[in-house]
Amino acid sequence: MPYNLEILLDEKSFEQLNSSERQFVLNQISKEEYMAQYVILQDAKTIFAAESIQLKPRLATQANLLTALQQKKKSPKIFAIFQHKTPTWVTVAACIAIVFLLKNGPFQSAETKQPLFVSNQVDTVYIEKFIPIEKAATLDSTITPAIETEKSIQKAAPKTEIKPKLDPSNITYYSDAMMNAEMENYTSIINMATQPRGVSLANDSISQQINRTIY
Amino acid sequence: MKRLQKNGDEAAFNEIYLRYSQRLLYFMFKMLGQDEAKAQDFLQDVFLKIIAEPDKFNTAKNFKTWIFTVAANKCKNDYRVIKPSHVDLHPEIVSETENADKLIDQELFKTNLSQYLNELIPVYKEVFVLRYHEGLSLNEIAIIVACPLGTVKSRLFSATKILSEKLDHFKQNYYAI
Repeated sequence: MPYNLEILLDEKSFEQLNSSERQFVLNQISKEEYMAQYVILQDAKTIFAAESIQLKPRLATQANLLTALQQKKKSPKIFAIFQHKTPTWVTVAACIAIVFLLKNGPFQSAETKQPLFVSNQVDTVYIEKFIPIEKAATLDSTITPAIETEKSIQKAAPKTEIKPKLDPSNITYYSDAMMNAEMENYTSIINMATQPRGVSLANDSISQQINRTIY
Repeated sequence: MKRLQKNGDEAAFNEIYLRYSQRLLYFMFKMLGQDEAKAQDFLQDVFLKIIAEPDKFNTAKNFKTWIFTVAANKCKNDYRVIKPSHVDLHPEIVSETENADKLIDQELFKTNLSQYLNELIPVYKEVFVLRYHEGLSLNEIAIIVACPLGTVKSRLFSATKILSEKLDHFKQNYYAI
């Protein structure tokens, strides 16, 4: 029958062992060793029991603990979210998942999206030729001969076109320097002798405008 | 514990406290080199942890082993900070034991045993106290100290053997009584 030396030492002295138990014990350790260990264990138990009776928990401890328990019950449960400890591997996994989603998920911007290539080889090439069809410009118009009546002749405003007569003697020649409006100290050289008619330059509207822009 | 987890039930907490406070206090008192003040502080810390994070306990498991695991881990953290030196034989004890032949009585044996128990290295003391004071099974101790069952058995045997060797001079006079 299998025995356990540790259990035997805990429960029985050498004298209390039966013959088979003694045989088992003597195969392991000597009688003196068994007796010594048995006495030590029994005395140790006695010492432990005597010491533990003398030792009492502080009276304040229980009161402090009950206060802590009451405070915990009163504290709002929302704080439990912040107080809850998350294992490190969960935090790391969450970070990896966020990075993965940002790179490959629906939040990716259109610019960074890679085009999807189904195949690199092209088997058949279809060329579409666009033939522009030009519509012939047809103008349907009916020309009805206008009958000139006296009224229509009267209503129509008389158009008079006044064409200046080009007289070589009437042309004013301006030097390049004069044409350059940005030039300073410009002096107009006009041969007044060749201009027998018209308003003077001082009263001329165009020359007045030129003078205003220059000066 | 389920009631405490669900509603923060004070009655449930009081029941747990009355059932385990004394046992935990003594266990930590022994593990902390018989420093009662520190053991009292640690006891409060252990129960505060139960209040603050009751969900850490898996109700499918044994509460007794869980609460002792919390206490044992707290003591282990303290060793890491302090790292006390463990001397096999204290000089004063040697001088006492030299005269043991003349002062043979049960009280001296127990005094020496108590001192030698305190001098055990923490891993031996831990399993020894849990086994012979708390009366926990070897499997329960294995869960608490997070070791295989064989390691627990080995540590218990080694602890008993060390004590036996140190108290060897009592063999002729005391063990025969």
